[in-house]
Amino acid sequence: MATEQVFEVKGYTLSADRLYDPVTHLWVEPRHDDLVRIGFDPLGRETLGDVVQVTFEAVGITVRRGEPFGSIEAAKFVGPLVAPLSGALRAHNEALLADPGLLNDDPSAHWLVELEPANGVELEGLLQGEAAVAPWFATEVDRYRSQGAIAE
Amino acid sequence: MTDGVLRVIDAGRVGPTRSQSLWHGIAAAMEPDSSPTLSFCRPARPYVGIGFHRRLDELDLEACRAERLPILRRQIGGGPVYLDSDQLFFQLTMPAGRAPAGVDRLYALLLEPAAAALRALGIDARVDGMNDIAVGDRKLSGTGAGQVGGGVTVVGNVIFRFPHERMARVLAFPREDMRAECLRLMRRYVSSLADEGFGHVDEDQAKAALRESYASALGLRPVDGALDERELAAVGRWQRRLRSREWLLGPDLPARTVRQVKVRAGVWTFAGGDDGLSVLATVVGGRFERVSVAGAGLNGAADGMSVALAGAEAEPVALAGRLERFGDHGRKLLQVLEPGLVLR
Repeated sequence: MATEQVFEVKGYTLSADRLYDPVTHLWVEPRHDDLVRIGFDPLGRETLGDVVQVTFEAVGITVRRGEPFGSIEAAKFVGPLVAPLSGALRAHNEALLADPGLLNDDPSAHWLVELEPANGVELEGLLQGEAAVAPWFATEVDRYRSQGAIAE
Repeated sequence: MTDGVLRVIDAGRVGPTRSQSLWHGIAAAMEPDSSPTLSFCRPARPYVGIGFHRRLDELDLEACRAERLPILRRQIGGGPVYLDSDQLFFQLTMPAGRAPAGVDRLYALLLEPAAAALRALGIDARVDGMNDIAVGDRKLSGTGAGQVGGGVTVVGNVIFRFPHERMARVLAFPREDMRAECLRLMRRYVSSLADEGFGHVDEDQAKAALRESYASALGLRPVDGALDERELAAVGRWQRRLRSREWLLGPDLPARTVRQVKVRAGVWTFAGGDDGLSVLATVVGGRFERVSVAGAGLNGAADGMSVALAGAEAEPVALAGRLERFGDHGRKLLQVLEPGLVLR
């Protein structure tokens, strides 16, 4: 089993093998079967607070980038889960539906949905690799810290 | 915010559905350059609201029918609530791109003005925890937040009077002593302006204080406004959605093994059971205030376990320590208790 390559940015652990969407703060992990898994990056999760519930659109439905593929609740705030890619939903993470609190422990370990991307163009628009991800993520950490959205 | 204006919309007394579609529509129609909007309304008739991610079976549907209370699901969080004309609803909605990043910061920015408005009326209110507005240890306002379309909304209410008994009647409980416990906790921890000796404060005073406080906190000039055509259309769409059966049923959510009712931040009661063992427990400030364990097969251990858990920290490791001497009975009870420690 291959070991996941990770790197640190200002105290947060990110994966060199995943793509990151700077708009939604979600990661996208390409799979060998033409599907991708989608999950929260550490900032996306931390700014939400403690997650108490997630729900997803039905498997089989097609979503477009920028549109909701589900919803999430933390501290009585309900927000949309916004798709970083267009495509067809192929699976939900049933473990998360049963125990949404898993996301609070480690968002990198728990995917939300599996999606079959509609095209490769949108994938190319995401950030991948330490050289591309680290500067963006460092700027985001600084921005959130300056706003008081995350701890110093 | 570009024009420095806080738009204020006062919808007055409206029907139950409109009291929800109003702010859902304002948020849904919000564009990146829209002015933040403070909206008010007061439901003309009582009804029951339920949070987006809650199962309808948390409500006693027969009781709601008997009391002629419509049920409306909102696209923000939190549990079922009883709402009536003794409450003034307020909502602060702003473009999602301008809302503070971070849910805790959103509440801090947009609930503190509400607490300040109550203080301006002479009430010693403060934001307690992340999102309660309280006087002492008593909750004085229900709150919630969410993103609907392009707008982020924080909602709250000014409770002039609150019928605790009626609220307890519309909730579903697996056992009647849980209803009684819930009512006890609500009487103790959910207050109102009347209960706090401010029954003389009227709707106009509350609205004026909120308007002034939000405008000051956001550095904006309050300007009376009205819904524009886009907003009216969005309100109309939400009116239809809120009335639809599909929306009312809500998302498909798994049933929980415990029935849990949160009364205010840090105060909740839950009931659960498995394999002949049942428990009713109340947590206040992170510790078990009351625990009642029952079970025919416990060989007299039920009372001992109830006593052992009283005052215990509501946390699995601490509970395991208290229950260790009860062997298998203790381990079984811990399994029943654990889901109730996770607040939803």
